[in-house]
Amino acid sequence: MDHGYFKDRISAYYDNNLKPEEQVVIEEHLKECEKCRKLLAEFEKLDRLVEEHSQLGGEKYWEESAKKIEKSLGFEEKTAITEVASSRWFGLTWKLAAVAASVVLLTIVGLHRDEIWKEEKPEKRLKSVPSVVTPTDSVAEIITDELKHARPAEVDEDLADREVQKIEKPKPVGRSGEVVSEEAKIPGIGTSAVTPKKGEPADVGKAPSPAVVERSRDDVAARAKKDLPEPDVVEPIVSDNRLQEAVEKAEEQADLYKSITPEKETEPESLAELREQKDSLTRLMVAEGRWKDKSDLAQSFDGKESKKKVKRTPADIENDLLQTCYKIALLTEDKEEYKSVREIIEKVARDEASPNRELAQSYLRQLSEQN
Amino acid sequence: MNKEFREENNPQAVNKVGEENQNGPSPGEKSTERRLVENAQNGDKKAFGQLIRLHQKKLFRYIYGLTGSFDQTEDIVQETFIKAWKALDRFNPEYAFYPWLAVIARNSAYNQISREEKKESLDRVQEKGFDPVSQELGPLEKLLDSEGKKRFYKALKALPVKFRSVFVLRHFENKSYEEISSFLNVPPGTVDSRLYRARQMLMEALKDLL
Repeated sequence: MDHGYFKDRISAYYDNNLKPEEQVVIEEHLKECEKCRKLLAEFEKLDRLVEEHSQLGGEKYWEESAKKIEKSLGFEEKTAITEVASSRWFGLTWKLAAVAASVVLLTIVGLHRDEIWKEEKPEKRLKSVPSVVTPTDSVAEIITDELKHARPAEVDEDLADREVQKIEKPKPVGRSGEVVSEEAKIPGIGTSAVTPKKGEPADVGKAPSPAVVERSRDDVAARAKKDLPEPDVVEPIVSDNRLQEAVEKAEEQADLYKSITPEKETEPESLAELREQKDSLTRLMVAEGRWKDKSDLAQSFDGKESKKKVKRTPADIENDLLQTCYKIALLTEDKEEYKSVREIIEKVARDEASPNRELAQSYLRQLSEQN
Repeated sequence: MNKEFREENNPQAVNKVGEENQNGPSPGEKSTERRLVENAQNGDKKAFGQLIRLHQKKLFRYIYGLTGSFDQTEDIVQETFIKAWKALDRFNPEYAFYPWLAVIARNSAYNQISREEKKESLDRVQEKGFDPVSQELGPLEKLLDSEGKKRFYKALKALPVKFRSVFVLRHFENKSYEEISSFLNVPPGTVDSRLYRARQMLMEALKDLL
């Protein structure tokens, strides 16, 4: 038999891939042929060489590669956003407390409107204050802090006296004579129908003069005659609207960060979530001044620009935005939306100063390949 | 269409966990892997991260062997894990995880080759793969910590893709002749002769290392 035939079959014999009858023939040949035995031995050596020399090293590269893949999957992004969001929520605590406090105060005012307007309906005063209105230290401090910026109120001192007795504040500030206590300065509790006039000096902690008290009574009577709104409206409670502003700011930030902060540790799965996330991140980019040209982002910018400064670097936000846009590009079937998010990625890919430029270029390359 | 990379897309046609597989993890690792897969299916990202770290190197070696391109391989491996994560619910954890990844990766490689074919003629692609015929390893060189490894990969890269693909499937993935024949849609006899030729070429190039 032709020696070439055996050489061809030795490879299959080595892999144990011959029919039994062929195998017998090859084994017989191997006993006689030195060249074929040598060839078989070389196959074995090659096998060992492949086993030994095909293994890849560079552990650092593989760890980076794994992280890159995880980032593409949004694993790291999620963690980062959660951490930042947590710290932001922590930072917002006082504002949220202010929201809670305002709700409590509105409730109190609502319940005590008859007392506040006592000169009209003194007989309808509430006899007790619901337990819910007992202020905690923190809430009282927040409110007091708000009032430090407020103007000295014109106080119904009798009402203030009565309210002070009802409110259990851990560290009550004493009062004397006609002086209104600290507690009485809590809006809606001791300061009824507060409408301080601008230009008057802040004087928290001091009692209003008898003249002021008298004027207060007059004001109350006058307001009652004019059928002014019920006092459970915010306006008469905090005259300079600082509390309201705090509430609005808190709500604005809460809305903004809620959209990029998952409530649980899960990947945003729907396009709607991704779109919302993209819009929020885009707003942050504009707010940071990183992207000054809003017209470039017209399709995703809804005009609700956040004026809040954020602690995360613009590069981080840009990175998150890139990933979100990439995911949308992968998922969306809307050509216009695809074009929109791709433009954002292209914008970063063109930006030589951007640390995310390479990532953007990588995304563009992958999107091109997907197409 | 490049018939070298045509194959059946049958991800579940792989070894079950616990079945003998020279390439697969040990029995203990298999149960660990199964737990990781099941945890990942329940949304555990860390578990999936461990699966990435467990298999990415082997997957990279396999796909690089097919494509001969570092950049293409990087993209395909990344894309493979992204696809796997998205399709994880459909994977049966009774089966070994790597072969499923390998099928996804092979399909991605095939898709890329199809795209390349639009630009270049079939013969040219078959002869040189993605990269121009060159023994330059590029970024891969940083992952090879010995001269012997560099020599091996240079020799492998120099093989025409029709020989290299058979060799890689046999030596890196431990595929049988029948499987290789099925994957590449070539007769078993062709697998036999191409494998012999690939071995001869490598032995010639690396004879001083043998």
